[in-house]
This record gives sequence, C-alpha cells and structure tokens, in this order.
Amino acid sequence: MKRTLLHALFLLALSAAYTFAKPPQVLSKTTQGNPNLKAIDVISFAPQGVLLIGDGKGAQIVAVRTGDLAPAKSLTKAIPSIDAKLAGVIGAKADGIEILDLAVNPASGKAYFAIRKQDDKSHIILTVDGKGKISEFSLDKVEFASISLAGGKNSISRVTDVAWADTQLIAAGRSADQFASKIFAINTPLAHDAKGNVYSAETYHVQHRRWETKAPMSVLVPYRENDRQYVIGAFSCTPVVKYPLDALKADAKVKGSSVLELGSGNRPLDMFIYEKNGKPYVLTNTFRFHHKRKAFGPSPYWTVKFEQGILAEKEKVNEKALLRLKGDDPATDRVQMVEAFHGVRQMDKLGDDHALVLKEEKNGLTLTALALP
Amino acid sequence: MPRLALLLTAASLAAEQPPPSLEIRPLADDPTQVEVVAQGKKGRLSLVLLDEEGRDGPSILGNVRQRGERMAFIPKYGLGRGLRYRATLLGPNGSRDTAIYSVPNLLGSEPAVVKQVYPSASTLPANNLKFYLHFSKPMREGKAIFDQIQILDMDNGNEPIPHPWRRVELWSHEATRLTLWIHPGRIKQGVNLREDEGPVLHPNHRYVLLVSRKVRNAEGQPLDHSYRKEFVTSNPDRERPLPSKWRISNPGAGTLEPLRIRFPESLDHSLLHRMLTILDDQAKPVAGELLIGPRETSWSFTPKEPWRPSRHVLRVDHELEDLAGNTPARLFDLDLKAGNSANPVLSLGFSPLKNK
Repeated sequence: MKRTLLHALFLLALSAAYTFAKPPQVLSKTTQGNPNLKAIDVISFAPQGVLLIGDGKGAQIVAVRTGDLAPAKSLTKAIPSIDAKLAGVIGAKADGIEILDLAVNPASGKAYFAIRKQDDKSHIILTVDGKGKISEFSLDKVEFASISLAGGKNSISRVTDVAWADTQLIAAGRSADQFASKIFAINTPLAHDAKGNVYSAETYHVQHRRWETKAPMSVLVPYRENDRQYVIGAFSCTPVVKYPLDALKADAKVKGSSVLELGSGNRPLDMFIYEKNGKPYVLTNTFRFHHKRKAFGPSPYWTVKFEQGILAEKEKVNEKALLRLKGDDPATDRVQMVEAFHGVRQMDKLGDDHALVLKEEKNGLTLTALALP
Repeated sequence: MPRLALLLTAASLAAEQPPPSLEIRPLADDPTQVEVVAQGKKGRLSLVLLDEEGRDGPSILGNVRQRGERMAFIPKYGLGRGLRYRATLLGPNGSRDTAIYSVPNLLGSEPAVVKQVYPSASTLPANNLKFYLHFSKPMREGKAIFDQIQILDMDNGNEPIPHPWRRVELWSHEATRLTLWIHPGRIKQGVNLREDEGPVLHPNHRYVLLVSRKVRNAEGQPLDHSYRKEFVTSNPDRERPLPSKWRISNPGAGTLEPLRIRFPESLDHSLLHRMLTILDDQAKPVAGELLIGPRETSWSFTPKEPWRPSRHVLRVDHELEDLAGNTPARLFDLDLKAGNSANPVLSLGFSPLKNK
C-alpha cells in the first residue's frame, strides 16, 4: 500500500513537472500559403521558432512557423559589410536595400533580417547562420496565422514593435495622420483570422502631474515583477516607461510611468532584459539626434545598460524619475554607457551571454556577436 | 564580291554558329527581369552582382530549371537599374563560361516632384504638428529622408532648425504621401526635450520648409527640383476645434447642390477626408463626393442623389484634429488642473431647403 502510494505520488510529481515544463502553445489555428504581406515593419520571435511579423500597411501581425528549431552554433566571426552581402544575394547594392529589423530566433540562434528592396519595394526575410551563410526564409509557402489589427476608424499604417508575453502577444501601431497610437493585446495561442481576441488601448503620458498627452510607444519589452506582467518600452519623447499589461483592456486609456531619463535628444531603438552574474539588467541601444551638437560617443548610436530593479520603482517616477546624467556627468552608477556597443544600430539577444548586433563601421555595417556587459 | 553574296555568306555563318553556351537575356520588355540560359543539362549556374571594380558579389537567389537540353537560372528578385551582373557556368569537367549583362538606366522616366504640401495655409500655429508631402510618384522609403527635408528660420539667416522631425517613417500605401511629424517632444509642454531644446517653431517667425532634390523616387532618381514652402507662425493654438462654431450653408432639397461647411481655423487635411460623415433621416450614410477648400478651412459635400427634404446630420469624429493636434474632445496638451471641459457637440443637424 505504502509502495503504491509512493508510486502514485511519484507519478503525480512527474505529471506536475511535465505540466510545469510544458512549453506554451503559440499557434492554435493556422493556414498554409503565402501571407501576402503588404510590408514588414518589424520582426521578433515567439517561442518554438515562430516568427512574428508586424505589417502596418496590411494592418496585421503574421505569426509564421519557421520550423527552425535545431540549436545551431552561433556566429563566431564578425561579418563586415553585411549590408552589401545581404543586398548582394538579391542582386542589389547596399544602398538599394533598407535593413528594417533584425531578430534572433532563440530556438536556433539564427539571425533573421527583414529587408526592403528599395526599387520595387519587395519585402524579404533573409537569415544568417553561425557560419555566416546567407539564405532566404521564403514566405511563398508557409504555415501561418494572421491577426488583423484593423477595425474601428483608427487606421494603423505602421507597427512599431511586436513582442511575445506568454499569455498575450502585444504590438504597438501608429496611424499616419492622427496623433494616436494603439497598443494591441492579442490573446494566445494565436489563431488565424480570429476575431474578438484583439484589444487595443491608447497610451498617455503625464508630465509634471499636470500636462497629459497621448504618447506613442515605440519599443515593447514584456517583463514580470511580483507575478504581474508589465511592458517596458519607450515613448518617442520620454525614454523608459512601463505600464501593467493587465491595464490593456478594450479601448482603455493606459498611462505609462516614466522610470528612467536617459537624457533628452535620444530615442531607444531595441531593448532586452538579460542576466549577468545573477543580476538582471536591461540593455538598450539608442539613436542620439543631437549627436552633432553634443556627442555621447563616436556615433549617434550608443548603448546603455541599467539595473532591472530601476523598473520596480514606485515613488520616483515621471518627473522624479532617475536621471542618467546630472549636467554632463553620470548621476548614478545604476545606469552605464557601454562603450563596446558604440555604433550599434540594431541588436537582439543571442543566447545568455551575447548580443547579435549590426554595428556601424567604416565600410558599412558589421554583423557581430558582442559579449553582454 | 557582290553585296547579296556577302549577306548570304554572313547569314549562313550565323546559321552554322552554335548558340552561345551561356547568355543572360531579358524576359519580355523589362530589362530587370532576366533569365540565365546555358546549353546542356549539367553544370552549376550562378549569377552575381559586380561592384565598381568588377569584383563578384555573393550568388544571387533564384531557381534553376531544366528545359530540354538547356538549363535556365531565374533570379527570384528583379535586377537593379544601372548595375552589371556576371553569370557563370561551371561545367562538370571543370570548364568555366561567363557572360556579362548590364541593366540599362531608366531613360525617359519623369522624375518625381512634390505636388502639394499640407497644411496649405501660409500662416501656421507655432505648435503645428505635422506636414503631409504629396509626391507625383512612389518614393524611396528609408530614414535618409529625415535629413533631406529641413525647416529654415528665415529670421535667423536661413539657419536650419536642428532635428525637427520625429524619425518614424509614415508613408501612404503607395509611398506617394509622407507624413512628417514635428517632434512631439518639442511641442508637448513639460517634456524634458522641449525644456532642454526649446520648441521647433517660435511664434511670429518666418520659416521655409525645404525639400531637397536629393529625395529619391522608388527607382532611385532624385526629385526634378527642390521644393520650398514659406510660412509664418502665429501664436500656439491651444483651443479645441469645436463643431458648434462651424457654419453650415444648407443646400436646396431635390438638388445636387453641395453642402458647405466653414471652419474658423484650418483643420487636418487627411482627417477631413474620413472624419466627417453625413447621415440621412434613417441614420444611413449619404453617398457623395467631398471637396476640401483652400487652407483647409472649408469642406463641401455633393450628394450622388438629390437631397431629400428631411433632416440630415453631419457627424463629426471626436478625433478630428486641427493643425496643432487638438481635437473636439481634448487638447493636445491637456491641463489636468484646468478641470474637465464640456463635452463637444459632435452632430450638427441640417434640413435641405425646399424651394430654395
């Protein structure tokens, strides 16, 4: 009896462990074929090698099962002039393409590039493996789910970011004529052509406890704090903000809290969370549009790391938010400029210890893996 | 040798000559769409872009097809105008044939021009939020455009205003219209960027919006000529555009006369196309054509069918914006200490006049 009980308990524990380890289901209903994208604005990855594509002109998010699941060797050698090489495989010169976005598939470590061919405006996904081999990830015949962001009178013409947050997919979209931006929350698993599981909210920002304005979000990073899911990111005019994901309800008005000022004249571009020596940090590369007047480094593209704990700040937010600089000097050691990342235009996390970056060099852009600071 | 005999000899020589082992030939009339054709069924066919020094780029993506005794390589994407390419056939015996192909530049194609810029008024509020640039052709998208369009301060020696734009590209679907946003962080009150850098536009200044000739169309051609829009600035507009202040001129019942609405200020050109709706007495949208008047201070609507002598409603979307991003529902910068504003009237009734 005792043995049977032990056996039953063992099976129960095994089943619980299996349940706990069970990966989240990303796609529930898909279709086959070509998603017929109108454009690609941004790309990122959900678990299980599912590529998320933000198509603002098509007012949709398309989730594509890449099947790219085999962990492969990460890029060990830098590839100089990667822009010319990516352009070359589609028969164009470096200035004949625009590299729209870079994302690393965490399931395989392979780099995915969203490219626009400038003359005929075709949008193409190219991949670069650990050996530097460039291939096309063709969208001609894929398994995918398309989630419409259309509906209502607010037309979306650009998706500024898309991110997977376990129980929801979140996306930020912008209109070409209204000063309005929408954050979309889409229940997961994702179902092709599903209606009714897409919620949108508008984001606002309050300055000096007085002025409230609509504030478009440009970067989205899901993050968990005390069992509550948040999104951190950037407003166009006020760098690092956060708001709780459960505030994203249909037609809600979401007010973000600014938690860190990187210094005015900068716009965060990519952002991710990582761990170093057991401590969590956030890394973000930014574009400094006041570079010529007051440079922070040799390039307008500069990178900063800060302690994730800053995000948990409850009191020192908005106008009391932590400042990186006091005058020209660092105001805190919790936020640090990362010199090795100067010139990084685009980046994504590559495994636990590296970032895969597109870095400005003399002869164009170099694709390289940099150790996380 | 007589001329006819010479021609015959040349023709027979041509007939005897074997077809080239490798050639790149355009498909139909478009020289950017090609196929590389090789005689034989074996070997490895490839196509590369050559740089200015004639060095090979990486192999171009494409598909190889067998056609009887020939092989054809078809690049997946079109080749670029003005570029040179080399096809190579590596034979199974180690032989190497090559062929060069130059894609001619586009001749006789009209360069693009800036057709119109909105707001079209020559006086704009100092907190004007955006410009719409309408081009005559689809344009080349890319962030370079933010450095090719400037605002010059005519009252300060035509000095360009540094970094006036929010660098997020917002193009229409056909890439013929670009929305340029003046950086909202330099318009919003209380935001660090405005406090540190000041606003982009100051009241009572003269400015030029200058679109450089460097702006390129999708084919890569620069503009036919640069474009200038001169304007002066008035005080910032911090009032809501309230429909209750609009004037409606009633059309005659049974006619196709346009309904005319006059606004006391310029409104957003793009939003005027989609944020005003006319409903009939059954609350159904009335079909017709709208026209936006000079300086975007008026709007008229000509119905498809004659007006019925019943009550109609002009419905105004609460998110219709003026030039400063104020809407009937809220100011661009809402002062939380000022208390709630009264809800705006968003439906304006009118009845087409009998025997007008």
